[in-house]
Amino acid sequence: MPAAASPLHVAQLVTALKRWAAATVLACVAGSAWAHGDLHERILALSAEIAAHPDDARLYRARADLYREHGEPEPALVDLDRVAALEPGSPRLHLAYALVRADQGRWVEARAELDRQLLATPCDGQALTLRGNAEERLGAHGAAIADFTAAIAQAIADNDVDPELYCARARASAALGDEHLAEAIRGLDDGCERLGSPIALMLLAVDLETRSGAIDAALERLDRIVAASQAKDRWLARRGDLLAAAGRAGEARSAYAAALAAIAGLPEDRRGNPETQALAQRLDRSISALALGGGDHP
Amino acid sequence: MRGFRYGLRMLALAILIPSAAAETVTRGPYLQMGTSTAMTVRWRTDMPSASRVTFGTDIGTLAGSSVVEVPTTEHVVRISGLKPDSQYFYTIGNSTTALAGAGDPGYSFVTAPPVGTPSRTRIWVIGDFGTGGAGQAGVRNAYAALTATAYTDAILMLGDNAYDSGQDQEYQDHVFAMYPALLRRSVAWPTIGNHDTGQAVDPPPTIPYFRQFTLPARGESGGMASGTPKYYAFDRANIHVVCLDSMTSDRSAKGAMGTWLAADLASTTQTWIIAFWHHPAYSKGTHDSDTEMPLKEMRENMLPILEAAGVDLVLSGHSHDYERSYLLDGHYGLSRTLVEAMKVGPGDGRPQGTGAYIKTPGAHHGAVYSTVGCSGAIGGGRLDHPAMVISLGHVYGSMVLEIEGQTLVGTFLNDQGAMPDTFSIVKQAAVAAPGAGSAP
Repeated sequence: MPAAASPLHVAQLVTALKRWAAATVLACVAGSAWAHGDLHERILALSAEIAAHPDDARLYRARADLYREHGEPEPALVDLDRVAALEPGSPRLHLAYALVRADQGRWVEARAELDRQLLATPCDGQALTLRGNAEERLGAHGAAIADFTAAIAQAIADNDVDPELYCARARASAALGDEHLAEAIRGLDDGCERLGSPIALMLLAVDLETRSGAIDAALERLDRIVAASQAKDRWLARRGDLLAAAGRAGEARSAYAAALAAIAGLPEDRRGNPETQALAQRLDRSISALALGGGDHP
Repeated sequence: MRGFRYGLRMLALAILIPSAAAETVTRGPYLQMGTSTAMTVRWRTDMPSASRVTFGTDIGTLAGSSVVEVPTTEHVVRISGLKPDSQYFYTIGNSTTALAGAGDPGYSFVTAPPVGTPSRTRIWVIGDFGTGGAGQAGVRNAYAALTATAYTDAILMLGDNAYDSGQDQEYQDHVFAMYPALLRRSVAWPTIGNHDTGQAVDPPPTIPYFRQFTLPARGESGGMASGTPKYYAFDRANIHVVCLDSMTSDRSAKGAMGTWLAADLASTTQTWIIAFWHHPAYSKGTHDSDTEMPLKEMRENMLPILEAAGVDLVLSGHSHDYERSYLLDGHYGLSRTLVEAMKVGPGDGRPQGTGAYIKTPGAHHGAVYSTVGCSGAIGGGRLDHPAMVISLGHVYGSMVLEIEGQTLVGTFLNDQGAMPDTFSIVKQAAVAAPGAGSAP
């Protein structure tokens, strides 16, 4: 039974629909210029329309998007300036500026634009995510975590959760230092529970657990990846590497042997390809090195 | 008097019963997330009701059933416990009444063979098709004429599925009303195009694309869980297919999609790897892969991952043309940086020409890249990308893939029924070095 829609949810839904409607209106305004021809031709078509309607802010906005897609930030900014002059209240204008600034790698300016955007629309998930990215680039990890957390909450409310957000937040937490690794991993676990253990989150969690010394937790997670995978050789090899690095030689040998057995069970074309053969040779060397008390792992 | 009351009662029943049980199927049924043992059946009705699918291998005895009691107009029923490689007949309806499919062999599908089986598989590939125009209908009719009663195992939709902005009515008119017979028998696997989001790179989950397609975010159809319907994988026979999102997801190699792609490909044992998304890595048609960011980023970031995993065929749309490459490897820069050494298979790949591309398993042995963005919209462009064996503008068409065992044949079929391009890839067995991979 779905939960009754709260006023907040309704407001968020309306925001989301407005967002899409705005994009759709832009698409319609630009008409055939959107639909056909390469970017250059579409820009030319829009320029012709602008010449005929020089005060139509929506045309400049549409052309700015095309310039951005074409990798031309300067003319995009000129068009956005024109939008700002013609229609100061144009929806998500600061976000549009911020996207161009982000393309240019000018993260301070991007963040400033996003601050303005989020004053006007504090629940804008795209703006929150982009500001989180800007803060990460600027080394403001704590602020980035706050924005990614807000973006995740918004995405959950919108039923639009993406693995990318959980990864971004976990990386920001991990960048704060080892004392924040547990928090980072907890965040990834939240994402795994909500999204069905996406592999991108699982692998990042393995890395962070390894870094934090939680080897058994990392191994348990790798085992789940092995179970879900048709080809188990590379994951078992990674299991062996992890154990070898942790000084658990006997278990590492077993894992490497399991990886070799997995290779032997692969279909012939996969078993015989150069990459798999190279892996098998590396596993043999690793087993030998462990037997001699050394190690051979990446 | 009793007779009068009886008459009134009958009249009331005649009025009430039909209205109580008269929901009409207004969309579908259509099939999603098919595997060797399960299938998702979806349809829409004009009024909310429970959802029920009855199914069986004998059209006269549909002994299986699956019911979802919560009333809805958007019906989604997953049926499981099916036998691989078997034809199932089905009906859809409410909890008591079949609304469609009873006794009709057009309401049937064939489950996939067990994963890894080198069975014959036919895939229909359409891109930029959803215009609702005569060209789209012509492409559909040409495919129907070619295949006649032969079964289509899967339909790959390369994006821009419903012009102009992916709205519900556009999907209704340009997709569901255009291919009703095919969609109720064959599983459709879509990707997102720019017109499916109304050009938005951050569309809300309420857009029709996300609401009407049920896609395997959790690895339900094979492959690793992506956690999102925007990109996913599925297995069919000995083929692993990955769908990427070039429109709304992070296109960086280390982003969630790139990480998923690398892990997913490391985890498959399938003979064939096919990838598809909307924005082509190589095109000089109505879009230019040298100048447009989504195209460049997909080429620079995703192709190295795919080629390192031995991808065989990459399909895209967006340019409203047909373009098909040589067997290529390692071309991640602008078109002018292509050198002959990147053409792993420098011939035309045509069985009647210089011969099929011969490919050994493993990384960097070449892939064919094709843009099929002309299944409903057409255009021109320079059509001179040096990676291409053939580039055709102003022609409607689709691609038909036939894969059996170690051989893949791709044919471009135009709306007149002509086949101006056919290529083939043949997998040659790798020879394992003595002792390599032997378990201790």
